[in-house]
Amino acid sequence: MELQRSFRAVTEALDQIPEAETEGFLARLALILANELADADRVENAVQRALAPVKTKEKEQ
Amino acid sequence: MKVEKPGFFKWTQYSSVMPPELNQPQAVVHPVVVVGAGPVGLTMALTLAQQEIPVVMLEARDQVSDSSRTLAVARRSVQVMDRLGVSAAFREKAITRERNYVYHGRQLIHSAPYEQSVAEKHPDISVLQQPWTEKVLLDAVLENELIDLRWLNAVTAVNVEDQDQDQDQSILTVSSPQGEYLLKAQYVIAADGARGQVRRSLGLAYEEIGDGVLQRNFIICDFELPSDLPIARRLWIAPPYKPNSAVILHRQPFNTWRLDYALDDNENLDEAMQPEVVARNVREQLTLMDIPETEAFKLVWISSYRPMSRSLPAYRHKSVFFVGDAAHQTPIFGGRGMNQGMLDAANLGWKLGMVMNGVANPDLLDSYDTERRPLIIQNLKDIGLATLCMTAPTRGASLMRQAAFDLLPTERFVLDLVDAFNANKSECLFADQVNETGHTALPGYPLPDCRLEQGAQTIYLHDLLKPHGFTSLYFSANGQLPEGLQSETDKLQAIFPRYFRHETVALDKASANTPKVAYLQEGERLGLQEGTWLLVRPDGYIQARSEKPLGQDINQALHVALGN
Repeated sequence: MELQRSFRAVTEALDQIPEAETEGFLARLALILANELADADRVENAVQRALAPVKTKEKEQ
Repeated sequence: MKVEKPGFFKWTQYSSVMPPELNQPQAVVHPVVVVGAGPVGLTMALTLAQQEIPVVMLEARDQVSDSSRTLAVARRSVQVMDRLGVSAAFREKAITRERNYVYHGRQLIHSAPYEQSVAEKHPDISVLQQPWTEKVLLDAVLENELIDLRWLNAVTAVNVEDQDQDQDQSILTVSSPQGEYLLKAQYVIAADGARGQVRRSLGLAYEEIGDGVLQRNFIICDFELPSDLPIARRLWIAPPYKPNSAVILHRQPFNTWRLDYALDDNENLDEAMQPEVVARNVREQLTLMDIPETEAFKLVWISSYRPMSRSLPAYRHKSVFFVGDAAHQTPIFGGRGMNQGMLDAANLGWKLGMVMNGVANPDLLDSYDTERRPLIIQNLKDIGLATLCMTAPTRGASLMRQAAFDLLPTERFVLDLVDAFNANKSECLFADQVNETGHTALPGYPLPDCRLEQGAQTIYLHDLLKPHGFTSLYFSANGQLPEGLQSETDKLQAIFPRYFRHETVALDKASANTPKVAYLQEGERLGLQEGTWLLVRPDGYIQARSEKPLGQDINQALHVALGN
């Protein structure tokens, strides 16, 4: 249930703000969560996993 | 608006004298030549002269530095000056920085005092324009018969030769108003800055550390305006008049201020350097601080720079050593350039002096590089992120910086990322020193200070240190030294009268002139107990620490320190 709640929290926040604010909000959220996690190895791992779809798209092109 | 002459200093032009080498048929080999008479070169020469080593200094200019340059002088640098006997002259002119303020937009986010521990003889940060700091050191150099300072003598080439006796020797080609000549030296100290000729002549190049040289221009300017505001450093992130920038404003003595700000990507440097443009930014900044237009200021200096984070891969090249900016450069807003250079000179100075005097093993000279360079590199990495936040050179950095700035008002953790003032300050010279004690009175760290009572006087622990030698400090409740240690320290003082001193300090009760720790909590700050023993190096760093040592431990520690 934790993940569902988190998912909804981010979704609702994104829906509440103007589209132009999306990038800034997600950058701030990433920074806050990275600080909460306090583990650079896990953050770097998460960064690579979040990059994966971009890399897949680059391969397809 | 024009740039006017600054009021904070009066420059003197010094004259050059006929170099002896132009008259002599056979060139003498000088023990040491220091190239560059900036603050680091001057400190180097004084440190060597204190060890009775004669020094020739070569300085291409005929005066001290021509602008305010380094303003923030760290405690360690003042301690170096103290041991050279010039700190009183320095402190007379310097002011103490009191607070650091961080603003976002118009809002004050964070404010903290600079640490003003009563246990320390000198403040955390003193502020004085570099020409004054140089003058204080220069006055001591000019009075010193062992130092031959040659103005308007510029090095044009350096050749390091291998000699038969396995002893490198350098030959410098020097140009002077009286003609060109060759100068021979056993050791050369390059204190000639980032664009120094010694390094260039030897074909040595800097490596970029972390983000290296950042492609963003900064404008730095000095203006004069009398003010009663507290002596502070103020960091503005995204001020209304420069929303994409970071601006630093800080106070200097003599009613002078420094404003330091990053230019945007699309700002033209030549235009940005125009006095009218700079004056406009100064006015905007003053308005932000509610200082009215009726308070007129004078612009006295404008310059530009790019933050650099670079180091030579080695600070020793045969018999040539590099100190200060000649060895490494750091972004200006980190406040660590001259300060690190002074520590370089203090570190190398005592070692070179003792090696040349036959007291220490020549291998000790290699420890200058192995101690200083990793620490310099660590310091550059420590302020890396703050530098990124000041400069935001890439799209990704710009986006994350904006995220950090936007969070500043409400998220405390961001402060350490964006402000170099709050960045970590690594100081330990010994890489494998593990510290779980909660204090830093350990080998590899600079000796913390504490107040002592001696008779009716209050002095500091640092006042007991032998300026150009090792100091053995033993702490006991009643100020007595155990018999076994007394005979060892007497023996060492007899063998090394110039380089070794012992002091016993009482923790509880003292007799007559024995110094005693004045305040319990200050002793606790060093973890002092009955039988604590410290060996302090000439550069103020702790070489060794023992609890209830034997005589042979003291002997052994001193010999290790000398590389024997």
